[in-house]
Amino acid sequence: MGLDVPVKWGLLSTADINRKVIPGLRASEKAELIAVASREQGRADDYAREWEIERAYGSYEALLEDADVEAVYISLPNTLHCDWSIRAVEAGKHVLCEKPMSRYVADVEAAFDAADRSGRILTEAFMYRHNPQTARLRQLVDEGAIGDLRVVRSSFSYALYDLENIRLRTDVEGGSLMDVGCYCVSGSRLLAGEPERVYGEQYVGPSATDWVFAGTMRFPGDVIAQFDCGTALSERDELEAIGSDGSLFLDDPWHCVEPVIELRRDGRVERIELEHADSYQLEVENLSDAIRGAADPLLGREDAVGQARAIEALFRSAATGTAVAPG
Amino acid sequence: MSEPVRWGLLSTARINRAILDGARQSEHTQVVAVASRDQARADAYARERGLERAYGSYEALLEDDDLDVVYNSLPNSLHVDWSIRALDAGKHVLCEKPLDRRVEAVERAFDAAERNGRLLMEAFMYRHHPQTRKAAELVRDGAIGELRQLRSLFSFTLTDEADVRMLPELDGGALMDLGCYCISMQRLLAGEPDLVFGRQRLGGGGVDVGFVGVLQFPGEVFGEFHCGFDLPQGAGLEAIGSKGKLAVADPVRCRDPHVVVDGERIDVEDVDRYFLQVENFSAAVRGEAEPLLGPADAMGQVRTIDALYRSAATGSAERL
Repeated sequence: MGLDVPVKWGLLSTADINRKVIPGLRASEKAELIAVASREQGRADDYAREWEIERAYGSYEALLEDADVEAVYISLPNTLHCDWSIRAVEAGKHVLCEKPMSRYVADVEAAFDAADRSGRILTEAFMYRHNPQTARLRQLVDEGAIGDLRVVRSSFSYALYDLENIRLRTDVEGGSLMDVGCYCVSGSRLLAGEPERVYGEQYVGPSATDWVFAGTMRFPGDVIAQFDCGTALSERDELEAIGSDGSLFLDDPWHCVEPVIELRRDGRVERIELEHADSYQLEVENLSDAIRGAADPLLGREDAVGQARAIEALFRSAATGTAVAPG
Repeated sequence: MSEPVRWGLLSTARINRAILDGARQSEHTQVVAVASRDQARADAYARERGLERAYGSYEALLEDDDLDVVYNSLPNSLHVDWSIRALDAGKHVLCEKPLDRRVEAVERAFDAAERNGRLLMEAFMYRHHPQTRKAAELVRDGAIGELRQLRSLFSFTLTDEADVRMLPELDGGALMDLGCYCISMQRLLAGEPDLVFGRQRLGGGGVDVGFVGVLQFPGEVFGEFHCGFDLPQGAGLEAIGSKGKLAVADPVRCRDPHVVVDGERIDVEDVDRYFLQVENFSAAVRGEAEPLLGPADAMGQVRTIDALYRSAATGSAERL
């Protein structure tokens, strides 16, 4: 198929996060949203009508059988990510799977094995990684704007106390590290590589998920990352990359609504303002380009497996009370 | 006396507490194991609740040969799959309500029970309470003459849009979470409906946050009910007959249990309905009692729910 033919997308589930991805799909000339699936035909029909999507399927299986759909976006609950990614790639679809793919390395590897076997692309939906703010941060660090990178400090938290909320249920893999801490892990890894040793402490709340999680990660070259995340903390999101000569501070590293990087060096603060960009659209376009062979997927197996290794090790550390080497 | 029946909990859901409390009062029941998707979490839960064994996966719990019963309190969309896996592993299963909204899925679950010679019961705990039995007896014995009308409601306010009950991926919805009780109690009093009409208000993640239904039962008995997550707290049941009216103020939670017949209050014994449910199921597993709720009830339940959702989708009355 020609490079200029938009990639046909389908949505697996009618999850709330779709609201952010659909406008990106619509705005892009590289993608065309043609189908949605829900567990009920009636609900799929309503959703398709509301969002003006051509085809509505009453089961996830039925959407995967639609030969016209080339890529699917999986926004199911965490525990279903890898299973449905595997079923989708085996049905010949390319897959954009919501983060975190899984907390188990074996599950993530099985999903990428299936993708390789099927010759399809699978990518984890860390939308912030596609935002120019993130690329610029990485570039500034690489160029030595803060000297040698020594410490990455990051946070992501909010407050939520409904014990039946999907983010607080153990059976669908809720918890703060899974829901928001994974961003801190991802951001630290982006700047410092793969951790050699991690240590985690958690507060397990009444719902039996981690309501607060704080982690320390040691990276090659003596870079240390610290982060905290929580479902029972005030709303915070920030990242600071601290080097031998200065630091880079991001007040909005994950949502990237108002992208600006503060370069703090020599007692001065330089504000590097960036143009707003729709991270979701960029994410969708990256996979669409990759499907047409016009780009590499920004996030592939290596990143997703590294992510799961770090998360698995952090949970193990918090459970055992000792530092853990991921792997 | 023989050994107590050994139970295992699939997941660490909040509702487990009620089951654990009920089990503690039952001489015939011993909760010995819990599974979570994470070993550390299972360990912590087992330690806190004094349970003997903790498993880091649901599969591992199902492999425990020393377990007779599995209590399944996973989100709705996982009820049938995990019940079948448990039955195939040779366990009896008490599964949280509603089993499913699809007739075919519930049939599959009971097929699995039959194939394996195991029991499967839907956990409508209120059905085990003497208040429910009393109401049913009074209606059956003609305390209100011939039954003509049923009315029931069940509602509370739920604003969190990511509550599992608000998510279509997990088969949330007010009819699934609350309306199923209204349906269950009307069916108990009037039998199986043959025609239903339903309307829904959509919200949350695309589920019915409000549902109203009309049910036509054999013998020209009519039922009406409403339920909702977008309403103030409300509960109640009224059975109106040719000669009088019976009312139950708190038919599901059964607090201050009593039945009112034409203004006269009839008190009922206050017993923990979770205890009675656990006791009934353990007795059934030991062959000492029939499970109160079997395949016939579960199939009637899901046929009604399925028809109501169909009606809400098509805008017309639907036959079962």
